[in-house]
Amino acid sequence: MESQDVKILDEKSYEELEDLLSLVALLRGYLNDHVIKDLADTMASLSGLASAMAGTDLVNVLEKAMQDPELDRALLDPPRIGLAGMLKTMGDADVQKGMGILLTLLKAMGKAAGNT
Amino acid sequence: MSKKKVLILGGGAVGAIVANKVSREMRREIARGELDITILDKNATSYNQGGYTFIPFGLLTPEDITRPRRSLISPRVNCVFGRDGEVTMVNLDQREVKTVGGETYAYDYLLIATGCQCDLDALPGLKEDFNTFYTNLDDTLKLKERLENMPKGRIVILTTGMPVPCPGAPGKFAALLDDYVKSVKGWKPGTDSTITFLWPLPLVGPPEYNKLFTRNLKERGIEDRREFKPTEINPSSRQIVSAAGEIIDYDLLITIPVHKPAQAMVDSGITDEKGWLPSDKYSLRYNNKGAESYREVYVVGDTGPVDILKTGIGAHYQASVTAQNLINDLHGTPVTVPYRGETGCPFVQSSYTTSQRGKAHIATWTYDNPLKPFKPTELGWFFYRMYYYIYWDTAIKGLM
Repeated sequence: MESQDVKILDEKSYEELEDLLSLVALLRGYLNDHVIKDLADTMASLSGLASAMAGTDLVNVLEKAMQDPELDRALLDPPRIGLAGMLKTMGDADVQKGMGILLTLLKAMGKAAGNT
Repeated sequence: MSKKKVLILGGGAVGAIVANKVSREMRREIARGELDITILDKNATSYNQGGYTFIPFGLLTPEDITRPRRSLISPRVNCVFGRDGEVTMVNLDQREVKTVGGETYAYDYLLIATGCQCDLDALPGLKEDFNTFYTNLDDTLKLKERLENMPKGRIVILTTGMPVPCPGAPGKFAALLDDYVKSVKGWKPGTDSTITFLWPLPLVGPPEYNKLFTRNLKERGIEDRREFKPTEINPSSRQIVSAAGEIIDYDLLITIPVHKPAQAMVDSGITDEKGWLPSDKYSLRYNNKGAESYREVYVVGDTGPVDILKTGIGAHYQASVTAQNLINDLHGTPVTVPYRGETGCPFVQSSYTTSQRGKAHIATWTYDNPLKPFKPTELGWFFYRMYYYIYWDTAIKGLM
């Protein structure tokens, strides 16, 4: 008959295993039907958020936009733009495209809210 | 459709959890003016009472365990704090509640979660030498100061009788105190100081809990006396007298007195023969042995009957079940979700000091599923410590 090696855990490793199992027992004792439902509801909310993020290119646009060096400069020293300034900025092509995106988003929000 | 009114007496853990869960589920009904949820409480600040045990040892700060109540409760819920929220009379037949401010609140559903308070009159002499972590933050901070300034001596931890909320806390305090005096104050056990633990029952917690607790006190050299029934405190001679005629000397007496419900409950004549609010142990609806029962009234948390343990863990699970039952009531769903008696008590074997890591375990059990043997661990300690930090944002908001 072939001999088989039996590996014995050293004291420290055994203690660490006990620690882990104890944590499992603790978590198991914590769970019940209502806790599961609460966790599920919270995860559902987070999933909704994830779905919003994952399902649009707006996130990529925002990702690039928020790293724009002009934005960094504006954050260091925010320009003060009043009504006249706003009207002037709206002549810029990029600003116009940004407005287009935002207004389309606003319209979509209005549509979505009306349908709940 | 006439507006339904859910009235919640008490803005503590139970009141906040139920209000947050029901208002989240019924947010459209609230928005349409079909449902009103109102909380009444004399206090506008919430305290995590379970955290008091840790304050004297610097393991938690007052900021950790304090939050403005309004910030914890959904804006969908009406909160009335102060005199207008201080309840004086509950009339279950008329379905109305009166407050100090003179207002009368009518309800369709009532949740009584007014907690409990220390009964200092139950033990003669106690009022004159009352040091504790069981009342409020101020008293707890005073105890902290006394411990810091105490040169040496005999410390006695006395639990005068039952029921007390969080029956595990006096024992937890004993273990934390022992580590504190040894490692922070540098006291040599047996020579500079003694700690004595006086307990009114034969066991501390369920059998498996008691086994580890008894062993822990023994290994630490803490005097452990059970079924100790004090009859009087003598503050001038610093002595405790027991029913058996025994005299115990002390230099510092830390007392956990027997508790009683909010005075308004007693004044309203709605308490049972043991002095607490009676309920069905599964539905948590007001029920005085079948003689008087009100299907629309829920009794939850520390204010409940003596046969339901008064623990923070228990209150959390009771609140969960009650929120669901209220939602079912409001929807007209004829389903009652039972409270299965989920309760528990964190067991602390040791604190986190310069020489050792803390060890603890959150022991839990239900009405019919007893506590199994367990082992306090380092991860258990960290889990317990973390819980009090995220308590406000997860538990109280009704998220887990």
